[in-house]
Amino acid sequence: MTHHSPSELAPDDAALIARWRGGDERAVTLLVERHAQAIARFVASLGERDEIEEVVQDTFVRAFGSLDSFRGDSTFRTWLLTIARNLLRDRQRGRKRAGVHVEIQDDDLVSSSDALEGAVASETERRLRAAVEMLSPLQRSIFTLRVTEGLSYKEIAIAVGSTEGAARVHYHNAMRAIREKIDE
Amino acid sequence: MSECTNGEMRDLLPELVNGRLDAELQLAVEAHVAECAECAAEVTLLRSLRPALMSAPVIDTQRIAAAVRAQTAAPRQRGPARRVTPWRVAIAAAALVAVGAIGDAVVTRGRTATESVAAHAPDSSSGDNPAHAAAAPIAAPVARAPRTAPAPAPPQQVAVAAPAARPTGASGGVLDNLSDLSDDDVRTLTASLDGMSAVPDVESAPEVDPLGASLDAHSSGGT
Repeated sequence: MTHHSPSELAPDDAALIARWRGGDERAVTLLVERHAQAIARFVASLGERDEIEEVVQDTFVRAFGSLDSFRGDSTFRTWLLTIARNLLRDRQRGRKRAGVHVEIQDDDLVSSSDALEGAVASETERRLRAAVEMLSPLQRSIFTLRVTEGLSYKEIAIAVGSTEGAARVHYHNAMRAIREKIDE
Repeated sequence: MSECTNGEMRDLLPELVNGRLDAELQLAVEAHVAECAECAAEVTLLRSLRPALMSAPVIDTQRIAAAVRAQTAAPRQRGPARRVTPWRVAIAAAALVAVGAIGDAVVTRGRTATESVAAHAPDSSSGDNPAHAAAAPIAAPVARAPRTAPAPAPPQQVAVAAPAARPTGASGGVLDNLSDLSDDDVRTLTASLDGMSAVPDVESAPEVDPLGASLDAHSSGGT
């Protein structure tokens, strides 16, 4: 028996982009619903605390505003991740110019999940979360993309502006650090 | 803590947890995990970590989508950018020549006896104008918005008569005047040319409504 999941029946990104290019604005909604959570996770993993939704929104606005430059060399999601990273970098530079302290400390990283604390189910999950949050933003973002989004090292390298080899090393270092933290 | 030395298999553990391996590879990785305590422990850890990592920030995707729609317009709704390009200027020049010819003809006709026109071109004077005036809008694409340009009828008639009026060298005068045009004049003329049905400024206008409707029907029909 062949079973088709909803995602298999849904139009793929290329089809939705083509529909948008043809004037169908509902395609925007479908693409946002499909990718926004992943972008939000990525933005949070890079240390953004207060304006995650705003960054996600700006990412999509920027993407649809320059969709002509999307050639499909990478997946649409990877392209969105790249835009999100650039936006976040620009914001952090802007804050730095404005004199706002932007250096991300470990304490900040732990508190970055304050909004989620209410949903923490167990001590185990809290320890796991703490282990992830002790990673550097780059390590954490790579680890998150690998584990939650299932991206390949090549896709991760594009998203974070690194190399495939470096992404692999960061992932395994992150995994080692988490295991050590858990075993403490 | 020891680590598995089979880097190829270790690299595939996240894919195994995410269910992204094809059947054959999944069996191979699962067989390795069954024999490798380190990889088994890592798989267990990944399966524990994934829910914690997935429960990331709560965002309002509907609000984001609405904001994105409000700030960006689908290509068909934006309309083409209008620029002054060399070919548009060339068309403008050609149009000026035609306008000059129209002027010449009108003046000539005003000065010469009406009977000569009637004598040499009885058919055109008797019924062409109304016929062409009516035909022009019909010839335009159906999808276009109706335009209220009153000019099309006279040019149809004068364009035939123009060569006969040319020997005086009036066209040279028109081209001379062209160099006196300001940029604004050229833009205005170019814009008016964009409105003429002869200029292919709308590449796929006929498909806008029918294709859009069919796509909508197809996507929502669930066949």
